[in-house]
Amino acid sequence: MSGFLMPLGFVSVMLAVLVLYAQLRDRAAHATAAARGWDQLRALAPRIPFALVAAECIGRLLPRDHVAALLGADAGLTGILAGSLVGGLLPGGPMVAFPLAIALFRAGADQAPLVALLTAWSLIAVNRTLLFEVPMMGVRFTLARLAVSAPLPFLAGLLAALIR
Amino acid sequence: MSSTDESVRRARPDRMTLFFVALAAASAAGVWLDGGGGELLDALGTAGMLLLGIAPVIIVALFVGGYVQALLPRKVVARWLGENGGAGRYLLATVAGVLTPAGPFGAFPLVVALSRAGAPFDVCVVYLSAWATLGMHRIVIWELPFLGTDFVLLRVLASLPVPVAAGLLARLWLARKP
Repeated sequence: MSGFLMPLGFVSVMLAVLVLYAQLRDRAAHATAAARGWDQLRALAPRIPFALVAAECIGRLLPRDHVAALLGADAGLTGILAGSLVGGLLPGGPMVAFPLAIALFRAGADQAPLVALLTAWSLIAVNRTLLFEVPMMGVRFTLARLAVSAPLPFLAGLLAALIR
Repeated sequence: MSSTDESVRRARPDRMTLFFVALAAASAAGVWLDGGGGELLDALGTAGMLLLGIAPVIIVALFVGGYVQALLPRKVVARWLGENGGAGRYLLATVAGVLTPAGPFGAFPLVVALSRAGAPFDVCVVYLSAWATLGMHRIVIWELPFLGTDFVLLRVLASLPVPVAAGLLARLWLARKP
Protein backbone atom coordinates (compact mmCIF):
# COMPACT_ATOMS: atom_id res chain seq x y z
CA MET A 1 0.00 0.00 0.00
CA SER A 2 2.91 2.36 0.67
CA GLY A 3 3.37 2.77 -3.09
CA PHE A 4 0.18 4.83 -3.14
CA LEU A 5 1.13 7.27 -0.38
CA MET A 6 3.60 9.36 -2.38
CA PRO A 7 1.19 9.88 -5.30
CA LEU A 8 -1.62 10.65 -2.87
CA GLY A 9 0.53 13.19 -1.04
CA PHE A 10 1.56 14.76 -4.34
CA VAL A 11 -1.95 15.20 -5.72
CA SER A 12 -3.22 16.39 -2.32
CA VAL A 13 -0.60 19.14 -2.16
CA MET A 14 -1.45 20.15 -5.74
CA LEU A 15 -5.15 20.29 -4.88
CA ALA A 16 -4.48 22.34 -1.74
CA VAL A 17 -2.40 24.88 -3.71
CA LEU A 18 -5.08 25.18 -6.42
CA VAL A 19 -7.93 25.55 -3.89
CA LEU A 20 -5.99 28.26 -2.07
CA TYR A 21 -5.21 30.07 -5.33
CA ALA A 22 -8.87 29.95 -6.40
CA GLN A 23 -9.96 31.18 -2.96
CA LEU A 24 -7.65 34.20 -3.24
CA ARG A 25 -7.96 35.04 -6.94
CA ASP A 26 -11.03 33.51 -8.55
CA ARG A 27 -13.72 32.16 -6.25
CA ALA A 28 -16.03 31.34 -9.16
CA ALA A 29 -13.55 28.63 -10.14
CA HIS A 30 -14.56 26.45 -7.16
CA ALA A 31 -17.95 25.62 -8.67
CA THR A 32 -16.58 24.99 -12.17
CA ALA A 33 -13.77 22.84 -10.82
CA ALA A 34 -16.10 20.79 -8.64
CA ALA A 35 -18.49 20.24 -11.55
CA ARG A 36 -15.70 19.16 -13.93
CA GLY A 37 -14.16 16.85 -11.34
CA TRP A 38 -17.51 15.32 -10.44
CA ASP A 39 -18.43 14.73 -14.12
CA GLN A 40 -15.19 12.90 -14.73
CA LEU A 41 -15.44 10.91 -11.52
CA ARG A 42 -18.96 9.80 -12.43
CA ALA A 43 -17.76 8.60 -15.83
CA LEU A 44 -14.72 6.74 -14.46
CA ALA A 45 -16.01 5.29 -11.18
CA PRO A 46 -18.11 2.44 -12.60
CA ARG A 47 -15.30 1.32 -14.91
CA ILE A 48 -12.31 1.24 -12.62
CA PRO A 49 -13.22 -1.81 -10.46
CA PHE A 50 -13.98 -3.93 -13.55
CA ALA A 51 -10.87 -2.73 -15.34
CA LEU A 52 -8.67 -3.64 -12.37
CA VAL A 53 -10.25 -7.10 -12.08
CA ALA A 54 -9.80 -7.63 -15.83
CA ALA A 55 -6.15 -6.57 -15.78
CA GLU A 56 -5.34 -8.75 -12.76
CA CYS A 57 -7.07 -11.80 -14.28
CA ILE A 58 -5.54 -11.30 -17.74
CA GLY A 59 -2.15 -11.03 -16.04
CA ARG A 60 -2.70 -14.41 -14.39
CA LEU A 61 -3.77 -16.01 -17.66
CA LEU A 62 -0.67 -14.87 -19.57
CA PRO A 63 1.54 -17.79 -20.56
CA ARG A 64 4.74 -17.07 -18.63
CA ASP A 65 7.19 -18.89 -20.87
CA HIS A 66 5.83 -17.13 -23.95
CA VAL A 67 6.00 -13.73 -22.27
CA ALA A 68 9.58 -14.32 -21.19
CA ALA A 69 10.57 -15.53 -24.66
CA LEU A 70 8.87 -12.63 -26.42
CA LEU A 71 9.63 -9.72 -24.06
CA GLY A 72 12.37 -11.09 -21.78
CA ALA A 73 15.91 -9.84 -21.36
CA ASP A 74 17.27 -12.37 -23.88
CA ALA A 75 14.92 -11.21 -26.62
CA GLY A 76 17.10 -8.15 -27.32
CA LEU A 77 16.04 -5.91 -30.20
CA THR A 78 13.32 -8.37 -31.18
CA GLY A 79 11.88 -7.96 -27.67
CA ILE A 80 11.82 -4.17 -28.04
CA LEU A 81 10.11 -4.54 -31.43
CA ALA A 82 7.62 -7.03 -29.96
CA GLY A 83 6.93 -4.65 -27.05
CA SER A 84 6.21 -1.83 -29.53
CA LEU A 85 3.77 -4.03 -31.49
CA VAL A 86 1.96 -5.36 -28.41
CA GLY A 87 1.69 -1.84 -26.96
CA GLY A 88 0.36 -0.43 -30.21
CA LEU A 89 -2.41 -3.04 -30.34
CA LEU A 90 -3.29 -2.84 -26.63
CA PRO A 91 -6.84 -1.54 -26.17
CA GLY A 92 -8.08 0.29 -23.09
CA GLY A 93 -6.96 3.18 -20.92
CA PRO A 94 -4.35 3.42 -18.17
CA MET A 95 -6.48 1.28 -15.87
CA VAL A 96 -5.80 -1.65 -18.20
CA ALA A 97 -2.32 -0.83 -19.47
CA PHE A 98 -0.48 -0.28 -16.18
CA PRO A 99 -1.84 -3.28 -14.25
CA LEU A 100 -1.12 -5.37 -17.35
CA ALA A 101 2.41 -3.97 -17.57
CA ILE A 102 3.13 -5.07 -14.01
CA ALA A 103 1.64 -8.48 -14.77
CA LEU A 104 3.99 -8.80 -17.77
CA PHE A 105 6.88 -7.69 -15.57
CA ARG A 106 6.07 -10.44 -13.06
CA ALA A 107 5.74 -12.91 -15.91
CA GLY A 108 9.32 -12.22 -16.99
CA ALA A 109 9.22 -9.22 -19.34
CA ASP A 110 12.33 -7.01 -19.34
CA GLN A 111 12.40 -3.24 -18.74
CA ALA A 112 13.34 -2.05 -22.25
CA PRO A 113 10.55 -3.98 -24.04
CA LEU A 114 8.12 -2.67 -21.41
CA VAL A 115 9.25 0.92 -22.04
CA ALA A 116 8.60 0.32 -25.76
CA LEU A 117 5.23 -1.24 -24.93
CA LEU A 118 4.07 1.64 -22.72
CA THR A 119 5.35 4.26 -25.17
CA ALA A 120 3.52 2.57 -28.06
CA TRP A 121 0.36 2.20 -26.01
CA SER A 122 0.43 5.84 -24.90
CA LEU A 123 1.06 7.20 -28.42
CA ILE A 124 -1.32 4.93 -30.32
CA ALA A 125 -4.01 4.08 -27.70
CA VAL A 126 -6.58 2.47 -29.99
CA ASN A 127 -9.65 3.38 -27.90
CA ARG A 128 -8.62 6.97 -27.28
CA THR A 129 -7.76 7.48 -30.95
CA LEU A 130 -11.11 6.15 -32.13
CA LEU A 131 -13.23 7.83 -29.44
CA PHE A 132 -11.56 11.23 -29.27
CA GLU A 133 -8.99 11.94 -31.93
CA VAL A 134 -10.89 10.82 -35.04
CA PRO A 135 -14.14 12.63 -34.11
CA MET A 136 -12.39 15.78 -32.89
CA MET A 137 -9.33 16.11 -35.12
CA GLY A 138 -10.40 14.20 -38.24
CA VAL A 139 -9.05 11.17 -40.04
CA ARG A 140 -6.23 12.97 -41.90
CA PHE A 141 -4.75 14.50 -38.75
CA THR A 142 -5.04 11.19 -36.89
CA LEU A 143 -3.41 9.10 -39.62
CA ALA A 144 -0.57 11.58 -40.06
CA ARG A 145 0.06 11.70 -36.32
CA LEU A 146 0.04 7.90 -36.07
CA ALA A 147 2.45 7.68 -39.02
CA VAL A 148 5.01 10.03 -37.46
CA SER A 149 4.61 8.29 -34.07
CA ALA A 150 5.20 4.79 -35.42
CA PRO A 151 9.02 4.62 -35.06
CA LEU A 152 9.16 6.32 -31.64
CA PRO A 153 8.27 3.43 -29.28
CA PHE A 154 11.15 1.35 -30.68
CA LEU A 155 13.52 4.30 -30.20
CA ALA A 156 12.36 4.82 -26.61
CA GLY A 157 12.88 1.11 -25.90
CA LEU A 158 16.32 1.23 -27.46
CA LEU A 159 17.20 4.30 -25.40
CA ALA A 160 15.97 2.54 -22.24
CA ALA A 161 18.24 -0.42 -23.02
CA LEU A 162 21.20 1.94 -23.54
CA ILE A 163 20.55 4.01 -20.39
CA ARG A 164 20.31 0.94 -18.22
CA MET B 1 -17.58 23.29 -23.70
CA SER B 2 -18.28 22.87 -27.38
CA SER B 3 -21.13 20.65 -28.54
CA THR B 4 -18.73 18.03 -29.94
CA ASP B 5 -17.18 17.78 -26.53
CA GLU B 6 -20.53 17.15 -24.85
CA SER B 7 -21.72 14.58 -27.35
CA VAL B 8 -18.46 12.66 -27.13
CA ARG B 9 -18.69 12.61 -23.38
CA ARG B 10 -22.31 11.54 -23.32
CA ALA B 11 -21.86 8.74 -25.84
CA ARG B 12 -18.81 7.35 -24.09
CA PRO B 13 -19.44 6.03 -20.56
CA ASP B 14 -22.01 3.28 -21.11
CA ARG B 15 -20.27 1.48 -23.94
CA MET B 16 -16.90 1.74 -22.20
CA THR B 17 -18.26 0.50 -18.90
CA LEU B 18 -19.95 -2.44 -20.63
CA PHE B 19 -16.67 -3.22 -22.38
CA PHE B 20 -14.86 -3.40 -19.04
CA VAL B 21 -17.63 -5.46 -17.42
CA ALA B 22 -17.44 -7.96 -20.29
CA LEU B 23 -13.64 -8.03 -20.18
CA ALA B 24 -13.65 -8.58 -16.40
CA ALA B 25 -16.27 -11.35 -16.66
CA ALA B 26 -14.44 -13.16 -19.46
CA SER B 27 -11.01 -12.96 -17.83
CA ALA B 28 -12.41 -13.92 -14.40
CA ALA B 29 -14.07 -16.94 -15.99
CA GLY B 30 -10.73 -17.80 -17.55
CA VAL B 31 -8.95 -17.64 -14.18
CA TRP B 32 -11.68 -19.75 -12.58
CA LEU B 33 -11.44 -22.44 -15.28
CA ASP B 34 -7.67 -22.35 -15.18
CA GLY B 35 -6.96 -22.20 -11.45
CA GLY B 36 -10.26 -22.78 -9.67
CA GLY B 37 -12.24 -20.73 -7.16
CA GLY B 38 -9.29 -20.14 -4.81
CA GLU B 39 -7.22 -18.56 -7.55
CA LEU B 40 -10.12 -16.38 -8.62
CA LEU B 41 -10.70 -15.19 -5.03
CA ASP B 42 -7.01 -14.38 -4.75
CA ALA B 43 -7.14 -12.37 -7.98
CA LEU B 44 -10.24 -10.49 -6.81
CA GLY B 45 -8.51 -9.76 -3.50
CA THR B 46 -5.45 -8.33 -5.26
CA ALA B 47 -7.65 -6.20 -7.52
CA GLY B 48 -9.59 -5.01 -4.47
CA MET B 49 -6.40 -3.93 -2.69
CA LEU B 50 -5.29 -2.02 -5.80
CA LEU B 51 -8.67 -0.33 -5.94
CA LEU B 52 -8.46 0.74 -2.29
CA GLY B 53 -4.98 2.17 -2.84
CA ILE B 54 -5.67 3.93 -6.09
CA ALA B 55 -9.21 5.27 -5.57
CA PRO B 56 -8.23 8.17 -3.26
CA VAL B 57 -5.43 9.21 -5.66
CA ILE B 58 -7.81 9.22 -8.63
CA ILE B 59 -10.52 11.14 -6.79
CA VAL B 60 -8.14 13.87 -5.65
CA ALA B 61 -6.45 14.01 -9.06
CA LEU B 62 -9.75 14.44 -10.92
CA PHE B 63 -10.49 17.53 -8.82
CA VAL B 64 -6.96 18.81 -9.47
CA GLY B 65 -7.84 18.46 -13.15
CA GLY B 66 -11.11 20.30 -12.56
CA TYR B 67 -9.31 23.23 -10.91
CA VAL B 68 -6.67 23.55 -13.61
CA GLN B 69 -9.35 23.53 -16.30
CA ALA B 70 -11.34 26.14 -14.39
CA LEU B 71 -8.37 28.40 -13.61
CA LEU B 72 -6.50 28.08 -16.90
CA PRO B 73 -8.88 28.34 -19.84
CA ARG B 74 -7.88 26.52 -23.02
CA LYS B 75 -7.98 29.79 -24.98
CA VAL B 76 -5.17 31.20 -22.84
CA VAL B 77 -2.97 28.14 -23.36
CA ALA B 78 -3.74 28.10 -27.08
CA ARG B 79 -2.75 31.77 -27.33
CA TRP B 80 0.56 31.17 -25.52
CA LEU B 81 1.40 28.31 -27.85
CA GLY B 82 0.30 30.28 -30.90
CA GLU B 83 2.38 33.36 -30.08
CA ASN B 84 5.76 31.78 -29.54
CA GLY B 85 7.69 30.63 -32.59
CA GLY B 86 10.41 28.12 -33.42
CA ALA B 87 12.08 25.83 -30.94
CA GLY B 88 10.55 27.69 -28.00
CA ARG B 89 7.15 26.59 -29.18
CA TYR B 90 8.16 22.92 -29.09
CA LEU B 91 9.40 23.40 -25.54
CA LEU B 92 6.21 25.19 -24.47
CA ALA B 93 4.04 22.55 -26.15
CA THR B 94 6.01 19.85 -24.31
CA VAL B 95 5.61 21.59 -20.96
CA ALA B 96 1.89 22.15 -21.59
CA GLY B 97 1.46 18.46 -22.48
CA VAL B 98 3.33 17.30 -19.38
CA LEU B 99 1.23 19.55 -17.14
CA THR B 100 -2.20 18.87 -18.68
CA PRO B 101 -3.89 17.34 -15.67
CA ALA B 102 -6.60 15.38 -17.41
CA GLY B 103 -7.44 12.47 -19.63
CA PRO B 104 -8.44 12.73 -23.30
CA PHE B 105 -11.56 14.71 -22.36
CA GLY B 106 -9.22 17.52 -21.30
CA ALA B 107 -6.41 17.17 -23.82
CA PHE B 108 -8.29 16.89 -27.11
CA PRO B 109 -10.44 20.02 -26.69
CA LEU B 110 -7.14 21.84 -26.12
CA VAL B 111 -5.71 20.45 -29.38
CA VAL B 112 -8.87 21.58 -31.17
CA ALA B 113 -8.41 25.06 -29.68
CA LEU B 114 -4.71 24.99 -30.59
CA SER B 115 -5.33 24.11 -34.16
CA ARG B 116 -8.13 26.72 -34.43
CA ALA B 117 -5.75 29.30 -33.00
CA GLY B 118 -3.44 28.55 -35.92
CA ALA B 119 -0.91 26.17 -34.37
CA PRO B 120 0.59 24.01 -37.14
CA PHE B 121 0.35 20.20 -37.24
CA ASP B 122 3.81 19.63 -35.77
CA VAL B 123 3.08 21.74 -32.66
CA CYS B 124 -0.18 19.83 -32.07
CA VAL B 125 1.79 16.57 -32.42
CA VAL B 126 4.42 17.74 -29.91
CA TYR B 127 1.70 18.64 -27.43
CA LEU B 128 -0.21 15.36 -27.84
CA SER B 129 2.94 13.22 -27.69
CA ALA B 130 4.16 15.00 -24.54
CA TRP B 131 0.77 14.60 -22.89
CA ALA B 132 0.58 10.92 -23.89
CA THR B 133 4.10 9.81 -23.00
CA LEU B 134 5.19 12.24 -20.27
CA GLY B 135 1.89 13.51 -18.80
CA MET B 136 2.55 14.04 -15.10
CA HIS B 137 -1.04 13.36 -14.16
CA ARG B 138 -0.95 9.84 -15.55
CA ILE B 139 2.52 9.13 -14.19
CA VAL B 140 1.47 10.11 -10.68
CA ILE B 141 -1.92 8.38 -10.65
CA TRP B 142 -1.16 5.19 -12.53
CA GLU B 143 2.43 4.56 -13.28
CA LEU B 144 4.20 5.28 -9.96
CA PRO B 145 1.81 3.20 -7.82
CA PHE B 146 1.95 0.23 -10.17
CA LEU B 147 5.48 0.21 -11.51
CA GLY B 148 7.61 1.96 -8.91
CA THR B 149 10.10 4.83 -9.01
CA ASP B 150 13.05 3.04 -10.65
CA PHE B 151 11.14 1.84 -13.66
CA VAL B 152 9.25 5.12 -14.04
CA LEU B 153 12.51 7.10 -14.01
CA LEU B 154 13.95 4.86 -16.73
CA ARG B 155 10.80 5.16 -18.83
CA VAL B 156 10.59 8.93 -18.44
CA LEU B 157 14.28 9.37 -19.36
CA ALA B 158 13.87 7.14 -22.41
CA SER B 159 10.71 9.03 -23.45
CA LEU B 160 12.08 12.55 -22.96
CA PRO B 161 13.08 12.96 -26.65
CA VAL B 162 9.79 11.50 -27.93
CA PRO B 163 7.69 14.72 -28.18
CA VAL B 164 10.37 16.72 -30.00
CA ALA B 165 11.24 13.75 -32.24
CA ALA B 166 7.53 13.43 -33.07
CA GLY B 167 7.40 17.15 -33.89
CA LEU B 168 10.43 16.97 -36.17
CA LEU B 169 9.00 13.92 -37.96
CA ALA B 170 5.69 15.78 -38.29
CA ARG B 171 7.54 18.69 -39.90
CA LEU B 172 9.19 16.28 -42.36
CA TRP B 173 5.76 14.78 -43.05
CA LEU B 174 4.37 18.22 -43.84
CA ALA B 175 7.32 19.08 -46.08
CA ARG B 176 7.05 15.80 -47.98
CA LYS B 177 3.38 16.20 -48.79
CA PRO B 178 2.68 18.02 -52.04
